[in-house]
Amino acid sequence: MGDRGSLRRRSDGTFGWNFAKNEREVLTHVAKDLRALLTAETPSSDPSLQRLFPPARTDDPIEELEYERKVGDSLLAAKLEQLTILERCVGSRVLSEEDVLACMRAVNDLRLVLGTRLDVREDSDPSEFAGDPERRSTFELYAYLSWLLESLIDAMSGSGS
Amino acid sequence: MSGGAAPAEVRRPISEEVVEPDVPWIVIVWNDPINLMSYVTWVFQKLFGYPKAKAEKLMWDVHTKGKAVVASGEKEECEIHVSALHGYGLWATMQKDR
Repeated sequence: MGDRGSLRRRSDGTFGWNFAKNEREVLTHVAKDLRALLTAETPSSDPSLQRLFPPARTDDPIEELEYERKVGDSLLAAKLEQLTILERCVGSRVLSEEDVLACMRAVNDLRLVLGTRLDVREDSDPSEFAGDPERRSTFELYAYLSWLLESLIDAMSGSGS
Repeated sequence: MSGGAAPAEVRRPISEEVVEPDVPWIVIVWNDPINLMSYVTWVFQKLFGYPKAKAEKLMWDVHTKGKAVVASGEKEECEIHVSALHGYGLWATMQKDR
């Protein structure tokens, strides 16, 4: 996959990218899984969602409840919307800047969920997960999404190829 | 981003809650092991319009000290910053600066 997921800024301000078929399938699959998770579960019922909805007011539980009441629904709606944009974009060759921003947030949300499940640390390396096939494949997916996010950041920062 | 103090460890100030119009609010971003350093730097540039050098300095503070104050201002303003940071998946909280 020498050309996997590569994104480049075009002269008209849009972005061109080109996914391999297996990348499209993987991204479509994980986006669908996260949508199902966001729809069925909450951070209290599934700890892997906790990093997607962190507390804002650890200094004051009452204010925290107020914050969640105020922004919780719109944060969830935004996360579902950016998943929809990611699903549309994996099948598209031309993306707007807004599309890329939404894809970055969606890809990072996926990393947060997988990373929480794996309980990754700063210095985690693949050998930690090698003994368990399921955890190994989850870590490979996590590493791929990290690579993809880096390539989106590069393209947005203007240093993409 | 490596380990470090979690937001849950923030202690509630001992003083009673009183009206303090002059005390500004601050937005804190906490270290976590998942968010990429390049991503955190980019988000600081994007959301706050910081030059790359300042964004990188703040990212390194988060990374090495466990947290950094990334913005300050009125309560409502800080709430907008925190929810935007949460939208990008960063671990942000706000509190009065005292």
